[in-house]
Amino acid sequence: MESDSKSASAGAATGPFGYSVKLPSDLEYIPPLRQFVAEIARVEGFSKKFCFRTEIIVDELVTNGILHGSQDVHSGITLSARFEDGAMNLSVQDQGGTRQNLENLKRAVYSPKPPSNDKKKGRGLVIVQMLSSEIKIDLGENGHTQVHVVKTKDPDESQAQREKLLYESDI
Amino acid sequence: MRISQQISQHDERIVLLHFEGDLNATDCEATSKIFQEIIDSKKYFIVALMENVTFVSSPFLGELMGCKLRLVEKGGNMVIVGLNYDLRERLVQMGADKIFQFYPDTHTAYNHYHWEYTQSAQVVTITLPPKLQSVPAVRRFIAGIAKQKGYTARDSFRIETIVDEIANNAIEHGDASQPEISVELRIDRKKFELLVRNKTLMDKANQLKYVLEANKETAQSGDTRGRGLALVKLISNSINVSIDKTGTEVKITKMREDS
Repeated sequence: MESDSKSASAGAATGPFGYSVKLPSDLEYIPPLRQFVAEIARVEGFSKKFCFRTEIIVDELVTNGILHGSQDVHSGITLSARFEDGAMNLSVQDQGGTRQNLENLKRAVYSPKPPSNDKKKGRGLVIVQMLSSEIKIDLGENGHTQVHVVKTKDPDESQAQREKLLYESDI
Repeated sequence: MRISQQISQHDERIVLLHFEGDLNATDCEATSKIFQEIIDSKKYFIVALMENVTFVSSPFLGELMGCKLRLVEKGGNMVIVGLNYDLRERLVQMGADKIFQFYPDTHTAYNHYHWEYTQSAQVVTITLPPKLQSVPAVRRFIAGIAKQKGYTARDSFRIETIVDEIANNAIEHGDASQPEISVELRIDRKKFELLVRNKTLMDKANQLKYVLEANKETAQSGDTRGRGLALVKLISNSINVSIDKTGTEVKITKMREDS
């Protein structure tokens, strides 16, 4: 796998004790998926704020993967999430889009610049950059594209640990 | 108005119709003729691409409804793709959303086509660590998918109950050293299948098989637990268990109630 990154530690999120979801390339799956990842983050002890922001990140990355990566209806998207050392490692893999799609993605990740006010699109990855600690792209030999995001706990996460205990007592 | 047509590269049974500009009453006749030519060529699925449409008049909308009716009579359909927000709002105010499906892009329209007409199942696979705390998220995720796919609230609730029970069993009665469990969902317009795989100690797996095949409940009247599988049997259409060296697989099938 060719690694194309500006960050050394944003590695693949798969691995032991992680979560993985493989789903069809269909926008209808996104609302339940983003809620699922947010809820899992909550179970893993992250704050409500962290989980809400995770939901935004998942929504954006998976929407991009479906619209620009896995454009064949029969293709899929794989999301992996691992939680360790106070951080969430998230990875979204698609089938890889056109060369232009990839160039656009690289530009958006490595040279993020908000679009002008008259543009309706192009703000999603800028927001992901703002909400995450690290982001990088991996290009697979089979043409697949993986976007990795690391999001570390906010300084106020100790509060989240207390909330986690309350949450677990609810379920 | 400008209108052009092409056969979809995705599926040759689908025709893409590109509309541009204002769609006025004066354009109805020409449009009707184009639709008739498409129907005569035995193509009954049309995706109307309207990214570059600036206005849709009431008579033109009526014309589109008539064209859609002709397609539906042939077992086909027409959907609308790419409307801008303002135009979409206007069409919704005119009640067009009760007649047409609106999609943001052709990709989503193709997904709808496959779901409705080719009856192909969609598959979602989840792997998760064997933590009981994860199960509520998984069950809500799968029930959410069922709702998104048009299953009724009652079906979704029952699916949630099934997932909860089977996933909890897979974790609770599974091998304590198993690194993960796998939950696979296969869903189509008519049925829902759930496959849960885990590593189980052989005596537990055989006990599970016995309970299911002998049609017995595990619980005695005084027990507080052990009724889960009986409940799952009540609300599903079939349960199968297969056991081999790699683990145990429980497969549940539930037919959609309103299919």
